[in-house]
Amino acid sequence: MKDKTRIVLADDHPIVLTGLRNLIESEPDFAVVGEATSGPEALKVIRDARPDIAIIDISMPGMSGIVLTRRLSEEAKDVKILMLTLHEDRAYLKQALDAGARGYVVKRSAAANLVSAVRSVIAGGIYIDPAIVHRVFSRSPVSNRVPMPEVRDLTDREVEVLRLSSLGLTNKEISHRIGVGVKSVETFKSRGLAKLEIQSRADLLRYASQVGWLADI
Amino acid sequence: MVLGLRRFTLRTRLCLIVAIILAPALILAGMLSLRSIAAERIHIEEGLGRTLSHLSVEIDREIQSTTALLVVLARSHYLQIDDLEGFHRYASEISNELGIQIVVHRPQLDKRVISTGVPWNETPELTMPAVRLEAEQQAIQTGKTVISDVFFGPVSQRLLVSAIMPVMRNGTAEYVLSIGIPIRKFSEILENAPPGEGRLAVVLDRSNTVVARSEKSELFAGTKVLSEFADRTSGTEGVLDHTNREGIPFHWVFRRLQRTGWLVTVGVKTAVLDASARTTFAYTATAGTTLFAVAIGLTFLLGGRLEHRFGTLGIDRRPTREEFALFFDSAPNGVVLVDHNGIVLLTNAPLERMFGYTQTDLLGQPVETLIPNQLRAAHVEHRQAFVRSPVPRVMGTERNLLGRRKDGSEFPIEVGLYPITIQTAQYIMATVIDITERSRAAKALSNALTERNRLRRHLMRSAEDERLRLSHELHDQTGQTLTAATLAAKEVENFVDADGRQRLTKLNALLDQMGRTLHKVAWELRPASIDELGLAAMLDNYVTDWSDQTGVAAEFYGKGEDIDNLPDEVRTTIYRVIQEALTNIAKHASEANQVSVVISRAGTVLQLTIDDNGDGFDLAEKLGTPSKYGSLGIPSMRERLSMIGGTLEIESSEGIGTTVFARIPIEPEEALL
Repeated sequence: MKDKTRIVLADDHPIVLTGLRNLIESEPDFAVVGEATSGPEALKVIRDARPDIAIIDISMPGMSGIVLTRRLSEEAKDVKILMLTLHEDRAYLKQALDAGARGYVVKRSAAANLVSAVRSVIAGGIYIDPAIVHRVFSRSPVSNRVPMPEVRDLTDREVEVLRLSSLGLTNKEISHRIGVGVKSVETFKSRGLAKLEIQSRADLLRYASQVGWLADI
Repeated sequence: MVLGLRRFTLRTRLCLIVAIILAPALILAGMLSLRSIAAERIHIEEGLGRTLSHLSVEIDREIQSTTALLVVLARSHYLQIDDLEGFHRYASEISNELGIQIVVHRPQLDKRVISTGVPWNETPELTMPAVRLEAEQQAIQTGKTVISDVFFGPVSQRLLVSAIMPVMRNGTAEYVLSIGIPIRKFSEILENAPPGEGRLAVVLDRSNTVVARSEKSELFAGTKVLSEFADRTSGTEGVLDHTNREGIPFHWVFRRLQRTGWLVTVGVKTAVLDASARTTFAYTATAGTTLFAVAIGLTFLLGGRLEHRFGTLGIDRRPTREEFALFFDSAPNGVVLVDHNGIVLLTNAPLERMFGYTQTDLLGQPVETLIPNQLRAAHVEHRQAFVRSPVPRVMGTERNLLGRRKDGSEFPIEVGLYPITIQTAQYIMATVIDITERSRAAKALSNALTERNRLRRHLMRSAEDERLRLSHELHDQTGQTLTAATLAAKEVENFVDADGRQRLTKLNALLDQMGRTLHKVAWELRPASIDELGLAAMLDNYVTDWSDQTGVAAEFYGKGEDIDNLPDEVRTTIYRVIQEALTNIAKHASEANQVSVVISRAGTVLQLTIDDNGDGFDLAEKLGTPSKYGSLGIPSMRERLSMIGGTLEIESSEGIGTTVFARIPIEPEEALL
């Protein structure tokens, strides 16, 4: 029988903290070795207690869980971090993982999944709450495809219209600027985009920044 | 008619009336003068007739006296005793006395002719001219005195007519006596009683040879007149129009003398006859025209005066100097005329009142007198620029132009500038409007708008704050409590039996459902991530989630932009605009399969561009149906943007898609708002 898994809890809501402690301690091989209700406090407790794993809330006074995680991955690399949060946005998940967290559990599924999450992370794995795991992989397959046909394939007009469009000018403004009708601007634009095989403004901007059209902004 | 006349001025109407009255009078005068012309003609013709009678009488008298002499000679005793030599002597005395030639011969006996022009001893045997001989034959046959036609006397060597008388004895002509009258005698008659200027008297013999003429008798005597003239004067008396021998048209009266059968005719040049008609006509026409012109002229002048008294201003007449001054002074706006150097030349009463000056105060002063000191230098420059390129324009609408009264007080004005060029001199006319009231009203309106905007913004902020508070409340308080509840429920599991555990599972499901709902509601109220993760990260996340939910490929471009430090209001607006735009796309752009949300920065403007490649729509059509347009949430987007000084443009074209352009100024002073 090996030693109990040493755990620190950090959450600014005392009742949640209590509930967590009861949940953790109901597991015979888990032991809560410290608790904190703010970011700075948590940093101190974890540095002192050196637990195997710290369960951290993201929204905390003084220092957010994300920042705390970042600090800890520098100052206490051996402490594994598991995020426990109300946030279900992918952005948080991504930031948490980027900061060095090894697990991410949303609070509403804590009762069911926290224990297994702790075990997974202790075992060296990465745990992501099934409630949001689909979001990691569901990014729409839009871009990062970089179209790079040469500018020389375009006529001067097309280049000018695309350049001005990438700067954010409306078709009407472009029409005034270069002295052709709005319909012509639309035509130049769609022809230019077709030649470059660009389908969205985002891709156009990406292209524009590569060929230096945005340099003068 | 009256309505028709109304088109003309009073003056024109008067002139027309005078012309209408005068014209018949002048025509009447013309007719009268024509009658007088006819009378004048008759008068001339009567003069011709008198001359004709006179000449006829004179010529008859000459012939008669010659005949009388013949009778005396025929009865002389020399012929009674046949003493021809004595007769020659006696006749020569008479002939010398009277300047005539007396010839006698005995047609029965010999051819010897005794003539007074030839000495007795030398009497030659002469051949008589045919004309003379013919007349003698006639005289012998009739036994009466006969006057011959004109012939050339072989003795006297000049043109003559002969009065020939047979001296009868026992029924035969013993002697034939004749007196040769030089036609000079007749010319003298005509010359002694000249027919007058432009008139001509002519005497013709029976064979239409000219006996005498009142002019140039020597030239024409003895010559025949034109046969046409001769034909037309074959009657005893009459009138005809014919040219004279010199080709000048004449009007002739003629009479044939009974005794001689000669024709006496007196003519007047047609030109002279018509001259009086022409002169009269010319006088009448001249007088008529002059009268007409004078009448119309007087009416015109008088009409001009009448117009001033009775005519309609503007239609019948121009304003008088006094009226013009009155109008100028009654203009609702101030008017000032300056020369190209800005010197005041003319002001009207309103301007003087407006600025508290009298007219004499301002005349000759620079126009800058009327504006505050601090604006004068700039005004001089403006004025010079205006003189260089004079185009009518209005000053004081965009920038605040102030006027300065005489007492030094200032008030806002609007000035219209109008360049005037008279010959080469350049003037500027300026109209001045006191816009104190307008400025006050504009300011009040502006204040009201500002206040309204402030209230709206306040309202919007309050709503946003409230959402934030609610979101936090739900998320952080209720959410945490719920978490604690689920954890507590989990704890209970250890103390209950299988049945209890089953119930707990149901409870957990309910709690989980509650948690999801709570999260969704809080997130919709306001994503906490705006504040916790930063706007860029939040938007990236938001766009991706939206893409997941709708199945439309969507990308956020602009993570690199520093938008997290913008004021809360700006960040909220950006989020709300993107939220609204994406909601629109999900609702309306059913064909869209490619959406971009772009944030870029151009100088001090943050540009938010959201475009889709959906159906697009006809903006005008949407604008035509406000309710549908309203459903796009565009007014609310625009409203939110305007609160922070931003603008919204939407471009949509069918088949290409729709682009929303939101522009937000992020200058420091704007950021403070």
